[in-house]
Amino acid sequence: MAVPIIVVFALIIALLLNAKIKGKGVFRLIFFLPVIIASGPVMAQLVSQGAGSIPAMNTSMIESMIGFLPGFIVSAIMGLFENIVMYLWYSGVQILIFLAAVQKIDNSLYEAAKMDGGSTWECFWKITLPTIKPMTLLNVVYTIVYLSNNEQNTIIETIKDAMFGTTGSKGYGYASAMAWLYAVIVTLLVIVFAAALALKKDVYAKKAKKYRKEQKKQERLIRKIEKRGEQYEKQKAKRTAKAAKAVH
Amino acid sequence: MKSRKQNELQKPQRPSIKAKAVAAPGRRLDRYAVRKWFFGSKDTQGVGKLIAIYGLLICIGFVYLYPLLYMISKSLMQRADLLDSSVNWIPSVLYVKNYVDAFTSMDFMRTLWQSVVIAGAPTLLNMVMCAVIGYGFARYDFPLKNVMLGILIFSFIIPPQITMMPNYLLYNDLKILDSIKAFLLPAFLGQGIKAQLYILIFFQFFRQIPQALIEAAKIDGCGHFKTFLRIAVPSAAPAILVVFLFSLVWYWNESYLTQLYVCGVLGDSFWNTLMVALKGFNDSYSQVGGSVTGEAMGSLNEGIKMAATMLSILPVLLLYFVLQKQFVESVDRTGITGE
Repeated sequence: MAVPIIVVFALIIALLLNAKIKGKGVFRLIFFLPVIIASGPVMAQLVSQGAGSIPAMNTSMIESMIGFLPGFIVSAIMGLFENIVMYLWYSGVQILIFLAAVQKIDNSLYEAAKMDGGSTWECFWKITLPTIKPMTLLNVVYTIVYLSNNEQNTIIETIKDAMFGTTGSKGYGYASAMAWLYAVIVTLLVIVFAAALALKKDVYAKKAKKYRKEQKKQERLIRKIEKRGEQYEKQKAKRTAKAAKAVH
Repeated sequence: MKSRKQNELQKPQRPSIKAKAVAAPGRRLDRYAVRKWFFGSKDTQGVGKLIAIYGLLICIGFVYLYPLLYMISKSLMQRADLLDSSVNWIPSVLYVKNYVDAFTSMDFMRTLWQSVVIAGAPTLLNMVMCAVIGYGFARYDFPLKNVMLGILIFSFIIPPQITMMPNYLLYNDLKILDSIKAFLLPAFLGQGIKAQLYILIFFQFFRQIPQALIEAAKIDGCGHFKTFLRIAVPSAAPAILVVFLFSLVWYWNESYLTQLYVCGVLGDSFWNTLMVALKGFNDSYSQVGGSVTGEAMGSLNEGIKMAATMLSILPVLLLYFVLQKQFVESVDRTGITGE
């Protein structure tokens, strides 16, 4: 569940950071912080100091506000609110990737769309989103891999314990087997997500491929015909030669 | 919300019917102007939109900034301030000696220089090699391409903790342990830390280059290599920047592998990075300031520890602040995107 949240959130932040605002440099610096801090020993130190979460987050109020909904929805939303700080911390890399992707979009595309009367909302759905689709796929894959291979992940901890633990350790082979199984499961997850976002090929590339295929087909046909023609000529020549011999 | 309020305020001030009749078109225009002022039009941004953008950015930015502020404030506190519960955020005196202590006990200048080398050299190699590999995947069709891409992604998925030991043994056999070669060689072969991610980034960026552009270059007489340098690389400038930043930061922050491969487990090697120094900071501090004992030491260490942490991430922050301007400029310069 965390994957779509992180990706969508990163996309929103990247779009906001790409908007025309003052103090862009400062904001971009701030949103680069999670990339630095979330990897490396700094984060562990901060979590141990209790600086990893917002202190004044009133969750019970939100819970009472959405209390009329069925239970599983409430628990899902509450889980979101409880972990939102962690999600924020995990989305630093994705923000930067999206930012780079959004910046590569040609501005003239937007200008053309505006000339034709498209609103900003339409521009987002029809221009921005299709253009950064490959990056979205990349971000989804990265998010899954990052979340599953995180140091805080319990399965990784179990594997590590089995590998390096002193008491009741089952050895390196056992840990490796666990890791392989885990990797296979994560791969299946990645495949499911990738299939959901299945990339359509570029229209131009498709056409070019089709064209090339047809060209090759035609070439083959021409060669076949030529070959047949050559054979026919040869046979004809033979026949005439025979006929000539016979005459002589 | 604000615009509605203003409209309500305007209602009671309505003049007589006559004046109303005269002013009617003007008022409608006025309302339109308010809406435009608030929501913005197609080419200008309204105030409401700006407020929303800034509000969101500041709120979320605060979450990220909070630990940093906490670190800065704690690192500037004296021992008395740290123990005093009435002092929460603002230290009573700006106490810089924490930084001085951290500076000397980490041997900062030498460690910084070595960190730059250890993080920088593999990063440059990573950038070049991953760009080449990504270009190969994106542009050329060769047998088993999809299988190889699958293997690439799968090797990204395998938990890195598992591959650590075999790698160590392999490097030991190759006799490249305890030197920077243990980072350079894998990076050169496209196997650096998280190199798979960089390859995928380049792959996706190079795929977006319109085929027409490359065919045009071919017609104009560009070879494979020249096409790569002249067309693919400039149009993927943001990708290069992103890869450079990620690679640098991850090599910079990697303390465990650095200690294992480069610095040597015993810690008697020539190489030392800021992160490794930070990790072993408690030990080195107790050697320098040995006079501190007992209860006070834990909380005293905290201020200096924070100062050391600040010092270790400051270079990367400064670098990013300089580089992030390139984000916009690099795109303006190339100007070859879309079809």
